[in-house]
Amino acid sequence: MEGSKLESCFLPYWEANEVQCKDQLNDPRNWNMIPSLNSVALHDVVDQQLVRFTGMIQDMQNPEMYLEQYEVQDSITKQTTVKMGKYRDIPACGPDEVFIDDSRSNVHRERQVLCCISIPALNPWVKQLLATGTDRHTEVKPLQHENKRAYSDESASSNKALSSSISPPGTSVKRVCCDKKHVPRNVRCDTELHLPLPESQAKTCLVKVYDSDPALALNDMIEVVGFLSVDPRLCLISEEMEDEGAQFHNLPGSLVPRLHAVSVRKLKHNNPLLELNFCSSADEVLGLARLVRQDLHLVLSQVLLGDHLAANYFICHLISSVFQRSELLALGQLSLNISNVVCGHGYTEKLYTVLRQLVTKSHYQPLTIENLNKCTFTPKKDYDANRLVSGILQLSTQTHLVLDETCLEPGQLDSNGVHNVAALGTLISQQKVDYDFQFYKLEFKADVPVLVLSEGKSLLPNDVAVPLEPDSKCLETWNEIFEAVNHYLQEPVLQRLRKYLTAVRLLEYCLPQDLEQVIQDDFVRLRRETDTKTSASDLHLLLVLSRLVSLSQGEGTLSRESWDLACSMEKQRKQRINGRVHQP
Amino acid sequence: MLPDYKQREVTAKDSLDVYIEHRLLMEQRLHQPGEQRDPRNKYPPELMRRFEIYFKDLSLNKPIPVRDVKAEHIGKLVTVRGIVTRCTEVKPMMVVATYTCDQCGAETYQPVNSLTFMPLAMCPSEDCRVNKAGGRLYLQTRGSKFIKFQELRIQEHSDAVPVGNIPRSLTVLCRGETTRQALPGDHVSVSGIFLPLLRTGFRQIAQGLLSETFMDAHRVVHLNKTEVDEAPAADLTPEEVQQLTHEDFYGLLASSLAPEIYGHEDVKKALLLLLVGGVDRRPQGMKIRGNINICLMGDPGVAKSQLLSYIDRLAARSQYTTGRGSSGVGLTAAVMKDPLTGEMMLEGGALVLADQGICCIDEFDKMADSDRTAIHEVMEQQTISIAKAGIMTSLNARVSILAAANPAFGRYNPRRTVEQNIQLPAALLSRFDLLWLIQDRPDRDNDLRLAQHITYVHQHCKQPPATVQALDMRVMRRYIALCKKQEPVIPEELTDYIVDSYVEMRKEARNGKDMTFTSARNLLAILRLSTALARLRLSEQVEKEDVKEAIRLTEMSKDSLNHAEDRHGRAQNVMDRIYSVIRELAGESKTVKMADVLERCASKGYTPDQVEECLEEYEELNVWLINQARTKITFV
Repeated sequence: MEGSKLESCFLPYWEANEVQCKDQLNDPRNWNMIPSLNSVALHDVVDQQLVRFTGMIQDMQNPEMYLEQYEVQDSITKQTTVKMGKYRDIPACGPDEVFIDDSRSNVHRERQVLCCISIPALNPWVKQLLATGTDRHTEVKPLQHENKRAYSDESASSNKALSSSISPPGTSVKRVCCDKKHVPRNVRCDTELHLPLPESQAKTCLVKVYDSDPALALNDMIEVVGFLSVDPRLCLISEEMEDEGAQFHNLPGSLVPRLHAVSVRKLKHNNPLLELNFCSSADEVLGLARLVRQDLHLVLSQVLLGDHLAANYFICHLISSVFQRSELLALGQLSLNISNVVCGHGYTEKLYTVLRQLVTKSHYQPLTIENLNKCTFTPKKDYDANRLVSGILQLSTQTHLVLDETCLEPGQLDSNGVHNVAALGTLISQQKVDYDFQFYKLEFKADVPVLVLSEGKSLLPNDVAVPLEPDSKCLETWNEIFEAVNHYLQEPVLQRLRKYLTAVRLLEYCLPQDLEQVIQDDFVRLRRETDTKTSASDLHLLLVLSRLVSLSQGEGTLSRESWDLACSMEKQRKQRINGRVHQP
Repeated sequence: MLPDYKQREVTAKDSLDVYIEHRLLMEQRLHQPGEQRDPRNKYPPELMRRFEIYFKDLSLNKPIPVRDVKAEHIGKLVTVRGIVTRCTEVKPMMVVATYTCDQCGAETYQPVNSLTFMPLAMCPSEDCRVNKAGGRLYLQTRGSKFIKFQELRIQEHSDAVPVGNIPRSLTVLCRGETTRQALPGDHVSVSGIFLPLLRTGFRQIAQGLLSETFMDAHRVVHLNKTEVDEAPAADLTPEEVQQLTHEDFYGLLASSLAPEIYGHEDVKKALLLLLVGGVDRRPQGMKIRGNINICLMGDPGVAKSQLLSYIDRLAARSQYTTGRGSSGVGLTAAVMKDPLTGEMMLEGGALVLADQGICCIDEFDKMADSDRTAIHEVMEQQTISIAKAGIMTSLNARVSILAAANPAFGRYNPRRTVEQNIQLPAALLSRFDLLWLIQDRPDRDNDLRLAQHITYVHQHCKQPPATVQALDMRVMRRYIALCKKQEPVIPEELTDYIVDSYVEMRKEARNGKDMTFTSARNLLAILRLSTALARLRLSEQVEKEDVKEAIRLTEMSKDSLNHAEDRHGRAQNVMDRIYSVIRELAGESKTVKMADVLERCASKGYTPDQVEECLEEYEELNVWLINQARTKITFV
C-alpha cells in the first residue's frame, strides 16, 4: 500500500513525511515502483514527481549556490513566511507573494550538479529487459492520465499546499510541449555532444545532488531517485541569458530534465537479471558455474572456428576487470588480441553479435583510417560552452570495447589519428584515458576490456595475443556455424550465460598462502628454462590469468589445478606464437 | 569658467580631471554661505575620487583550492590559485552615470553598483519640479565616470583535482587596476571577495532560488612557472622532514622511485641523484654544469621506458620524447614560418621546453642526425645555438638528460665496445655521467624475491610491507625541491682523496681490459654526484662518504657494462666460472657431491647443459674424476 505512494509521490507530500518516505525508499520493492525516466516518456510524468534515473556521470559542473530557506512576503497581508528551497528550481511564490531578497532567514547552501546520460553502449537485450521490467508503470500510465487529478487529489488530501504550489499536471504537460517551439535549432545536437557514442534513445539529465558525496566520480554508473523539475519557466530564464555557457544548463526541461536527487546509489553492475548486491542469487549462479562455463566454452570455441585455446582466453577476457592499480600498473585486466582472423568479410561483425548477446555493455569500433582520423576518442573540455565534450573512450566500467583491425587499410594518419591511436594504446596498457582540458591533461581511470581483432600482429599493445588456429572444416562452414550458434543461444541458455558472466566477475578472490611457494618455484624454473625470456610481466600475466581461470569456474580461491591450467594455457600460446614466427 | 592665461606649459589632464576641476569651481561659485543646498546635487564621492583601494590578503593566509570556496566564504576575502581559462576584453564599466536635463540644464548623478542599472528619465532638479517643465534627462558619456572591467574564469590546477572529478572553475570580476593582469593559460593567484551575483528586475524573480557567485578581485598576481612549481615546497612540514632524514633515507628515497619496478637499487639511486642534480660552477666565466646525465641501456623489456616515464611524472619540470620525435621541431629548436603573418619565428623543441628540468629521451640511439649534433652542445654547455634563416641566437637548455637506448644488435654484445653496441659516437657517450646497462640475468635468489614480490601484490592488492614503505610522490617532489635549494661545496681537505681516487681509476682503466673509458669527464661526474649526495642530505658540505658513494656508483655503472661478459663470453668463460664455483664448493675436501654442484650452479644461473659440458671438459683435462653413477666428483 505504501509503495503506491512512492509511485506517484510529489514534493509537498515528501516534505511533510520525509522520514517515513526515506524509510520506504530503503525497500527495493518500493524503489522499483518509482517510475523510471529511462523508460517512461517525459510527458507521462509530472513536474515535482518522484522519479528514478539510471545513468552514467558524464560531466560535473560547478556547484550551485541555492537558498535552502527563504522568506516571502504577502504583498496584501504583509505577512512573511519562511519556505524551503530544497529540491526546487523555482520559488514557490503565490501570486501576491514577494520574494524577500535580504531576509535574515535566508540560508545559502550548495548542491552539486552532475550531468548524467543514460549508460552508453548498452546492449539491446538489457534495454529490452529494462523496458519490460518497468512495464507495470507504462501499463498504469494511460489509466493514470485520466485519473491524474484523482491521484494528485489523493496525495493532496494530506497536504493542501500541493494544489496551490504546482500547476495542475495537465497544463504543465501542455506547456512543456509548446516549449519545443522556442528551442533553438542547434540544441538537439548540443545534447548529443554529451554522448560518447551516437545513440538515438539516449537521455541526458541534470542531477542535482544535495548531500554532496565525494565518492561520486566521473563515469560512475549511478541510480538516482529524485524530484523531476521540468517547469517551463526555467526555459524563459535561458532565453534571457545571452551567455553561451549558461545555455546548456538552462535547456528546457523537455530536452534535459532536471532531477533533484533524494537518494543516489552507485551501481556495481548493470545486469538486470541480477540483484544489485546479489547475495541471495549468487550461490545459485556460482554452483552452476562449471556447467555454464562448459556451455560458454562450447559456444565460443564454435564461434572461434574450433579453436579451444582461444575460447579459453576469450572466457577469461570476458570476466576480466581491474582489481588493483598503482602508478604505472593496472592489475586484473586481460586485453586480448585475436590475430590471424582471415576468414573473410563479415566474420568480425558476426562474432560481435554473439558477444553482444552475452555482455551488458559493448561497443564495436571498426578501426579504419577514416574512423581514426575523424572520430573523437578522448573527451575534451569546451570552455566556450563550459562542458565536457564526450569521446568514444568515455565509457563506464566493464564496457567491452571491440576494435576491428581487419578493416584497416593502408593510408595516412593525421595528427588526430595519431593521438587517437596513442589514446587507445594507453587505455589498453594502463587502463586510463587522458582527458583534454586544453591547458592540461587529466587522467581518468577506466576499466574497459579491449578485444582487438586483426589479421596479423596488432598495431596496438595487448596483454595476450592469440593467433587463431581455425579448424579447416570450420573455416569452410563458418556461416552455418553462426546460424547454429544463434539457434542454440535461446532465452534460458542466454540468461544463464549472462548471469554467470556478471556474477563471476564480481566474485571475491584470494590467493592462498600455500600456493605462494608453488608459484614462486614455478617462476624460478620458468626463468631458467626459457633463458630469461620470462620476465616479471609474464608472472603478472600468469597470476592474472590463473585468477580469471579460477573465477571462471566459480571458485573464489586459487587452486593448484587452476594455476597449472593457466601455466599450460600460456605455454601453448607461446608455442603457437613461436611456431608462427618460424613458419614463414 | 575661462582658464587663466598661462606662462608655461600646462601639465596634461584627462577629461575627468577637467570635469572634477570644473565641478569644484561650480560648487564654490554656487555655494553661498547659509544657503540650503539640494543634497542631490552634491557630487557622489565615486565621481570625484581619483584613486582605487584594494586589499591584500594576509601573508599568513594560504591560498585555498577553488574546490573549497564554498557558501561559507560569501562576503569574505579569500585567495585562490588557478589557471585562467577565459578572459573577456577589457571594457569600460559605468560607475557614475551623469545626466543633463534638456530643460534646465542641471546635472544629475546616479552611482551604479551592480552590473546593470535603470537609467533615469525625469529631471529631479528644483527648477523642473517647481515649473513642472518635465525636463528629460540625457546621459552624458563624457561627464560619467567609467572604470576598466574584465571578467576572468579560473580553473583549478590539475594536481588539486581529486581523482575522477572534473576541475572546478570560478568567475572573477576585475575592475580598474586589476584588469589586464592575466591571459588564458596563465597561472594566477587571485585575492578577492566571494560574493553572490545580484540580478535585478525580472531575472531576479525567475532566477529565484539560485544565485550565481563570483569573486570580486582585489589582487591578481601572475605566477611564473617556477613559482607554481615551488609553491608546494613550503608545505613540507618539519615532521615530514624529520621522517625523511632518518637512518637510511637515501635508500628509502631511491626505493620509492617506481616502486612497481622491482630491484635495480643502484639505478634508482642514480636516478634520484639525477633528480636532485649537482651544483653549477662558474669559475672565471667558464661554466661547468651541475646537471647529471644518465643513459640507460639494456635488452628490450627491462623496464627502461617505465623508469623514464616514472621520472617524467615525478619531476616538477620535464619533457618526455623519443629520439624519433615526430614533430618538425625535434629535440632542439626550429625556425618556423608563421602561417598567418609569414614571419620567421623560433619554436623550441623538447630540450628547450625542459629548461631547468629533466628531458627524458627514449630510443636515444634512433635520434635524427641534426639533433645528434646539437645535443653535444646541450649536454656540456647547456645551451642551444641557432643560426638559421637570419636568426642567430642561443637558447638556454639547462637540462638533465635521461636517455634510454636499445642495443644495436637486439641484445647487448659484450665483446664489442659501448659505441658499437649503441651506435653512438664516443664523444656523445662520454658526456653521460653514468652509463648503465640493465641486464636481465637469471639468478635463483633474485628471481625468487621477485616472484615473492609479485605474488604478494596479487595476493594482498598492495605493495609488500617488508620493503620500505614507498614515499608518496608529492612528498618526494617537495623534498627534492627542498634539496635543490642547497649549494654544497667541496672542502679543501677532500681534494687529495678525490685526486687519488681518480688516479687510481685511470690506472685501472689502463691495465684492465675495460670496454669503457675513463677520462677527465669521469672526475667531473664524481664531483657532480657527490654534490648531489650532499644536497640530498641537506648539507652545506660534501663529505668523504659522499665521494665514496659517488665513486661506488661510477664503478657499479662500469661494472654493469663490463660484467655483461659473464654470460655471453660463453666458451671459455662459463667453463672457468663453473669450475671455480665447484672448486669453492669443495673447499678443503677432495670430493663433492654432484647434486650439490648442480644445485649451486643452478642458483648461479647456469644451465645443467653448461655444467655438464664443464664437467666433461675438466675430466678430460684430468682435473677431476667422476664416478660411474655420476654422483660424486673427486679432485685429482
